[in-house]
Amino acid sequence: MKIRNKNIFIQTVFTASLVLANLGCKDKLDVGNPNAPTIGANVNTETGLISLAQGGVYINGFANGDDWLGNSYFSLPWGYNELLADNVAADASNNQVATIGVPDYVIFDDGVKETNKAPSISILRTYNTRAATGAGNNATYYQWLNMYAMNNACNTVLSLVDNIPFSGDAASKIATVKAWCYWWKAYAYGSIGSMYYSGLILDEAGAKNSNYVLHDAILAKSNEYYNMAASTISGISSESDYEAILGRLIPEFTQLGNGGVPTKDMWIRNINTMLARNLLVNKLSPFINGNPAATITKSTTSAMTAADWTSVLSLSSKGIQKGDVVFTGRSTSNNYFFSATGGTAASLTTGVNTSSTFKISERFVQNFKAGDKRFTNNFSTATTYKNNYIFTTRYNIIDGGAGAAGVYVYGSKTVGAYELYIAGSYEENLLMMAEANIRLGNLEAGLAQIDLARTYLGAGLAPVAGTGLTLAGAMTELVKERRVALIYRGLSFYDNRRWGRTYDITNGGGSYANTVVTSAGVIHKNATINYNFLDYWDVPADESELNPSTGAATKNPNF
Amino acid sequence: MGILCVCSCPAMLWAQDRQVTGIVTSADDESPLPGVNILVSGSSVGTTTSIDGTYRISVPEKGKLIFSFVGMISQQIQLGNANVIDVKLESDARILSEVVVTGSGVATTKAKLGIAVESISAKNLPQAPTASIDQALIGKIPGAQISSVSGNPGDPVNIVLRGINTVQGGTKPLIMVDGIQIASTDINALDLSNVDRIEVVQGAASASIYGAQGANGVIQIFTKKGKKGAISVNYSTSYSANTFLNTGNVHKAKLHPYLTDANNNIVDSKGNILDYNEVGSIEGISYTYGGAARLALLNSQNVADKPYNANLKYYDHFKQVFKTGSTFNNSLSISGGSDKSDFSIAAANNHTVSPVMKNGSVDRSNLSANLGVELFKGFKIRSNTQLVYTKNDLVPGLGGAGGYDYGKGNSLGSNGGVFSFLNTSPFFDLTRKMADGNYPGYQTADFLSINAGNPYYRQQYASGIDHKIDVIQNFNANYTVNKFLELDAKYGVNYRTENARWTYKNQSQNLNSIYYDNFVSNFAPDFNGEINDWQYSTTFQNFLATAYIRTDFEKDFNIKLPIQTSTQISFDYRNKMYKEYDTYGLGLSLSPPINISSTSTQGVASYNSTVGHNGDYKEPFVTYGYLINQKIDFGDYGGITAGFRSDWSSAFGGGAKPFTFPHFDGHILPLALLKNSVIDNIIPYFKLRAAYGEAGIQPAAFDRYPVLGQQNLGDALVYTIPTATKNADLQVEVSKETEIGTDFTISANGSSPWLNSINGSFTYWKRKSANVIYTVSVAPSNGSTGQLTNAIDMSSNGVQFSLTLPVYNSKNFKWEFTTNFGHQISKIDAVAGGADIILTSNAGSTSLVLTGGQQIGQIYGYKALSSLDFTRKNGVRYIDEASVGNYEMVDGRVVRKSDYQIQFTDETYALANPNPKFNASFINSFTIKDFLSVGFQFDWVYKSHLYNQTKEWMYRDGIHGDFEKPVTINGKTGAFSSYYGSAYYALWGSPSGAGNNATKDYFLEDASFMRLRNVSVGFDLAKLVKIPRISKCQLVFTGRNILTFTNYTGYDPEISSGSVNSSFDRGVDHSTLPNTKSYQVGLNIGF
Repeated sequence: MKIRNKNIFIQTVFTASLVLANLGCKDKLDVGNPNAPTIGANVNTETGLISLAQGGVYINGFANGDDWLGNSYFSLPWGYNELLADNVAADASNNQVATIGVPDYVIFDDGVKETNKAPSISILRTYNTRAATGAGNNATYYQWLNMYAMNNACNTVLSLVDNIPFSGDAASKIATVKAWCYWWKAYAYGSIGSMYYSGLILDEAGAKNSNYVLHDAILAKSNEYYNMAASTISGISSESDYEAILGRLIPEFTQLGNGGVPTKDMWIRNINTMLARNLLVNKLSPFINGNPAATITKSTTSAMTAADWTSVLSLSSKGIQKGDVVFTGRSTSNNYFFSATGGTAASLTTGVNTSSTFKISERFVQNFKAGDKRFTNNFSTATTYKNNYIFTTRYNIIDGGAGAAGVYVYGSKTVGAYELYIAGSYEENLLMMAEANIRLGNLEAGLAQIDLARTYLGAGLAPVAGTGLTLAGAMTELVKERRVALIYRGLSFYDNRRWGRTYDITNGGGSYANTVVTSAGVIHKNATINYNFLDYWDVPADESELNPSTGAATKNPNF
Repeated sequence: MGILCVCSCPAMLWAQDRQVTGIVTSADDESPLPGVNILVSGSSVGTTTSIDGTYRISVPEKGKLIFSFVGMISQQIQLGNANVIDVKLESDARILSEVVVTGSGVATTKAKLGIAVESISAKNLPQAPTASIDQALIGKIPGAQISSVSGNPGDPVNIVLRGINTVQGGTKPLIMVDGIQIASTDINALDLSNVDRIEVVQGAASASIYGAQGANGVIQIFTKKGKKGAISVNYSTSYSANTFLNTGNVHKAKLHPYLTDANNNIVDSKGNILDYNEVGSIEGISYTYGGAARLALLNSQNVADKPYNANLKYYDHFKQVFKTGSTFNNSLSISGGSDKSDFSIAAANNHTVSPVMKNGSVDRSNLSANLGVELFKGFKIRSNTQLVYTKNDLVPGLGGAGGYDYGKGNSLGSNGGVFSFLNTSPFFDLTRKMADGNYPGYQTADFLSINAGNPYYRQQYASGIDHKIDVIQNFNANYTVNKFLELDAKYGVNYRTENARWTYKNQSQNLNSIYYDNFVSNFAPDFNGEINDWQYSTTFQNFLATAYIRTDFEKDFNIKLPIQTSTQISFDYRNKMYKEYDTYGLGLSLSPPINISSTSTQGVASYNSTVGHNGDYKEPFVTYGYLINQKIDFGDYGGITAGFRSDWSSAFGGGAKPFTFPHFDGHILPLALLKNSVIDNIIPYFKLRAAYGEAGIQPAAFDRYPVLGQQNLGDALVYTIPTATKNADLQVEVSKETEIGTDFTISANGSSPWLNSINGSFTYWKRKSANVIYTVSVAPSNGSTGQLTNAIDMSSNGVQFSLTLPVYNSKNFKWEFTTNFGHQISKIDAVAGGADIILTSNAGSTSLVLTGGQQIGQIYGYKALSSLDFTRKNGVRYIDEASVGNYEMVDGRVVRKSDYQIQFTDETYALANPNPKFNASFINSFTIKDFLSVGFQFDWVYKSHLYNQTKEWMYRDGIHGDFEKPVTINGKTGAFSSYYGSAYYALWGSPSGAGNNATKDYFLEDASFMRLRNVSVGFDLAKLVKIPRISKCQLVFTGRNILTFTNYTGYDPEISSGSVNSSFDRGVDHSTLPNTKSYQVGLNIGF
C-alpha cells in the first residue's frame, strides 16, 4: 500500500513536470542575439545613428573586406594604385600584387628588351572570377566592395535620419548627418567612377539595380552628391550643433595634425578640391617623353580641354587652403580602421626592403631632385632588394624618417604616427592649381605653386619659378612633384594614366628615361617601359555575374 | 506461479530430491557472475546466482541444468553424481545477443532491431597513448570515417559517420554519455579507462529519435558501473614515447645551386664568403646562374648539385623542431556492488608532452563516480559524476590552447608558428642565437627565406597556460511501476569553464626584431608584448523523461499471438549557454612583474570576422521536443517500429513552430520458422532489416536574427552593416535516410575450432539532405556579400559491413578477426539560385566551390599537360603540331626542352575529391593460454586525396627535398631547379606570375594508406604465477602508427588542415602537425 502511494506520487510528478516543461518553454525560444545591436533597437537615437554613420564609413567603407594583404582599403586597393603607378613593387604572391604592376616590356639602356609573359591585363582578367575572389586573387574586387559597402551604409543612414529625435537644433543636426552621407557617397562614386569602366547608381537602402552606367555617369553622380553636400552644409544654421555632430562622426583619434573638425567653409573647400580631382584624374593630359602635346590614340576617356582646365583651376582656387582641416586617418594600437604596421600602402613599404611587403620603386625615387630633403629624410640604401627586372631597388623607407625637422615623412609603423590623407589635401590642391595654370599657359603662376608645395612639404629645394622653364620643363617639374608629393593617396595610378604613361607605346603611351636596376646590380638610367595597363577596370565578376547588366558593358571594350 | 507449484507439491515431482551448489564465473576474467539464471531443463524450477556468483538448487536425479545470462553463451550441464557444479560462462561473440539502447531508446537485443547500431565494448578499444575515446574509436566502427587529423596533443579527430549532409555545421555527431547529451565537454576529454562500451548510430534512419540534432548520427558512451560481487580494484600505468610521423621523408634539399667559390664556399657575386650578420641573416647570396634574384631559380642552367660542406652547413630543421614527446597514463578504479546498490569510482591522469621542441604539455585528470541504488522495489536511482581538469601549457602558435571560439571545443590548438621554419633556407641554424643571446625570429638571405620564421624565437618570447574544468553530472531515476509501465527520468548538467592566458614578452631588445620589425604577437601591433586572457564557459542541461508501456499478448492478455508491444513517450529538453570573454593588455615592461596591470593599455578583444563576434559574447540555445515511438515484435519472427519526433528550437525560423521527423523500421528473421532444423544449426541467426527516418541539423546560433555589427573604433562604439546577412525564415536542415541491411551468424563449422561462428552485418544507405544552410553570395553593390539561406540540396549513399570471425577457438589458443568496411559518396545536388558557392581553403590559390553535381570537398585547379596533344576545354591544342618537338614527356608531364619547365594548363578543372573511396580496418587478436595476448589493427584508407600545400610552399624558394632529385630532360640529367620551380611558378605561357602558388595537380596526391594503427602484446603474470590478492598483473607493450604504407610524399596521409569536422575543407595538408608514432609500455593490475 505504501508502495502504491509512492507510485501515484511519482507518476503525478512525472506527468506534471512533462506538462509544465512543455508549457514553460515556448516563450524562452526567442533568445534573440544578445551580442549584437539591431536597427530597430539601437539606431533609433542620435547616438545610435552616429554609431552607424561612423561605422558605415570607417569600418564598412575602409576596414572590412581587405584582410588578405594589410588590413584596410588603404593597404590593398590603394596598394594596387601605387603598384600600377610603379611607385612600389611586391614579390609576394598574395592578391596578384606581384603581377598586376609589371609592365609588358622594358627596354634597357643597352637595347636589351625584357618581355613580361604574364601581362597585367591578362592577369587582371584571368583572375576576375568569383572563384579567384574567394582565393584572394581578384584585384578588381576590393575597391568595388568597399565603396559600395560605404554607399549602402550611407543610404541606410539617410533612410533613418529623418525619423530620429535629435536634441538641440534638430534641423542642423539632421543636415550635418545628411551632408556626411552625401560627402561619402560622392567619395564612393568618385572612387568607382575613377577606377571602373562602368558602375551602378544605388541611392536607396537595400534597393537593387542592374542598369550599369559608364564611369562618366558615375562621376557625374559623384559631383552631384558633392554639390548636394556643399549646399546642405551651406544651409546649416547652427554652427555649434554642426560641430557637435561632425565632431562625433569624425573619429576623435584622427582629430589632430591636419585632421580635425572642419568648419562649414573648410568642408566646402574640401568638396571643391574633390570636384577638381574628379575632373582632373579622369581625363587625359598626356605628357610622354617630355612632350606636353602627346596624344593617346586609344583610351576609355577623352583629353582635357581648355574649359576643363579652367574648371579645375576655378574649383581648386576655391579648394583647400593651407591650415584647413582635411579628412585624415590614423592608426591606433587597437580598435583601428587600419593598423600601424599593415593598414596602409605606406606602412607596407616601410622598413627593410628585404622583408617589407612592398618595395619602394626606383621609378619613384628617380623623381626626387638632387638635394631634396624629403629624400634624405626618408630613404636609405642600407639594403638592396634584388629581384626581377622591375622589382630590384636600392632604397628603403626609413621608419618614421631620419628626424629632419619640418620635412614630410613617407612612412611610419609607429602607432598613430602616420597621417593618412583619405580625401584631398592642401598640397594636392596646390598641384592641381599648378597643373591647370601650366596647361593654361600661366607657367610662372603654376611653377610658383609647385614651389609652394615643395616648401610646405619641407623639400628645401631652390624655387623653379622664375627660372625660365618651358611648358615641357614646367610639366616635368609638375610631374616629378606630383609623383613624390602624392604617393599613398589613391591618386598615383590615375596620374600615370592621364599623363598617358600606362597606355601601350603603340597607342602613343609609354614611360621613358626610367631608372631600372637589374638583379646583377647594373643601373640603367634611360630605360623605356611599356606598362600597357587597363585604363578603367572591368566590373568584378562578383557583381557582374550575380547582377548581370541590363545597361552598359561591364568589361572595358577598349582593351 | 511456478514457484508456488514447486512449493506446494515437491514430492510429486522428484522422488529423490537433492541439492546442488556451485559458483558461476566469467570465462573471461573468472569474476563471479551474479544474477545468472539457472533452470532445471523441462521444468519451471529455477534460481539465480547471488552476489558472489554462488547458487544452490534442488535437482532431480537425472536431467540437465541450463545456465543462462545476457551476453553469455548458455550452457547445459548434464546432472551426474556431483553435488558441486561450477560453471564458467563464455561471453557470446554473436552480435544478436548484444543489448543496445542507442537509436531505439529502449534496451533491445540486436536481434530485434530494425536499424543498424554499431557497438564496441571496452576490451576491444586500444589503449591509445592519448587515452582519448575518439582516438581509440578509429577503425572500430564499420562505415565511420574517423581520422586523426593532427598530432598536436589534445587535438580532436575528424568524424564522418554516414556521408556529408551539411555544410556550415560540420560533420560532428551528437555525443551522449549514459543517455544524456554532453554538449560542453569534448569527447576526447573523457576518461577512456572509464568506458564500458560505446554505441554508434550513423544516420537519420537510425538516429531519427534524436530529431533535430540527429542527422549527423550519435555516439553514445556508457561508463563503467559497479558489478555485484567482491570489490574489484584495477590500476593501470603506462609510459609512451611519441615522435611525429614523416612517412614521406619530408626534408629540405641537401644540395644547392648557389654561387660558390673553388672551395665550395657559398659566396656573393664579388666572391666574398658569406656569413651570418649581427641580426642572424646572410647577405649577398646568389644563384650560380641568373644572379641574385628569386626567379633565377627558373634559370635552366641552375642545378642543385653542391653539398653544404664549407662555410654554410645544412641543418635538418625538422630534427631541430620535432623531438620525442612522451605520455604518462595512470588510472585507478574501484568498483563493487550489492543486491541493491553498486558503485564505481575511478581516477585517471594523462600527461602528454608535445614533440614540438617539448614546448609544453597537456595534463588531464579525470575523476568519476557512478553510484546506483534501488530505493525500493522497482525504483532505482543513479548518479554519474565525471570531473575533468585539464592543464595545457603549450605555447600559442606551437599548439597552445586559446583564441576566439576555442571554448566551444573541438578546436585545434594554435599551431601556426610551428611550421614557420618551412620557408627558412636549410643553411640557417634555427638554434643559433645572436651575439645578444636571443634567437633571431627572421632568418633571411636577401631574396631567399623571405617568409622565414623561427619557432625557437616564438618559444623564447611566447608562453601559454590554459586551465579547463569539465563537470558532467547525470541523474537518473527509473521506476518500473508494473509489468506494463516503466517511468524513467534523466537530468544531466554538463559544465565547462576554461581560462587561457597567452603572454608575449616584450621583444624590443631583440636585434633581429628591431632590424626587421618582426615579432610574435596576437593583438599587439608592435614588438612591445602583450597578454591575452581567453575565458570560456559552457553550461548545458538535458532533461529527458520517458514512459515505456509494454504488453505481451500471450502473457498479459492470454491471446495466442506472439506479439509484444513497446510504446515510448519521451520529452526531451536541452538548454545551452556558451559564454566567452576575451581581454588583453598591450605593451609589457621588460622587467617583472609580467601581468595585465603592468601593460600600458587594456581592452576587450575586438570583433573578429571569422568567428563573427567580439570578445564579450554569449550564445544561448534552447530546444525541446517529444518523441512517440511504437514498437511491435512478432515473437522471434520479426517486428516493426514507427514513430515521430517533434522539436521546437530557438534556432528555427519563427521559433515557435516545431519540426517533425518521422521514422519507420522493420525486420524479419525468415529462418525463425525453421527452428531446430539443420539450417537453423548452420545459420542460427539471419535477419533482414529496413529503416527510413528523418533527422535534422539545427541552424547555428543567431542565424535567424538579422542584426548590425558592433565594434569599437578608437574609444567610440560604432555599428556596421554585416557583410553576410542573417535570415529570419531559416528552416532546419532535414536529412532523409533509407537503410537496408542484414545481420547474420553462420555456424557452418559447428564443433570445429576453426571458423565456428561467423558474425556479419551489412548495411546499404541512401540519404538526401534538403534545406542545407549556407551563405550564398549576393552582389556586393547591395552592401553585403552574402545572405544566409537554406541553399543546398545534397545527397549521399554508401555501404558498410563488418565481419567478425573466431578464426580459431580452442582452450589454449584463440584467434579472432574482425574487419570493418565503409564506402560513401556525398555530393551537392543543387545550389539555390544556381551560382556556385565559393569557399576558401589553403590548397594553392584556387578556391573550393560548392556546385551542383559535384562531390563536396572537390579541389579545383590547373593540370600539368599529360600529353603533347593536350587540348583546352574548347578542343584547341595547347601545343601545335609544329612545336611538338620543343617538348617532351617527363614523369607523365609535358616539359619544355628549352627551359625544363613543366607545362600547366591555364584553365582550371575539378581535380579530385579528398574523401576516400572506402576505408576499412582489419583487427586480429590472439590469446594464447590465458596469459599471453597479441593484437593488431590495420587501417586502410583507399583513394583519399591531399593537396600538399606544405610542399608547394617549400617549392617557392627551391628548398624542398625534391630539388635535389635529378631528372632527365632533353638528354641531360640533373636536379634542374627550373624543372621543380616551374611547378610552383608557371602556368601556360607564363613562367612566373600567374602561376605562383596556383593550385596544380602536381601537388595533389593520392593519400591512400595502410597503417598499422595498433599492435599490442600483453603478458598476464598473475595467470602464470599465483600472486595473492592479485587477479591480474598484465604487462602490455603497445605500438601505435608504427607502420604506414603510402605513396603520399608529405608527413602523414591522414592529416587535414581544415577546421575540425569541416564538411568541405578536408583535403589539404597545409603545415598541420602529423600524427605521432608511439611506443608504449603499460602495466595493468587487478585486485
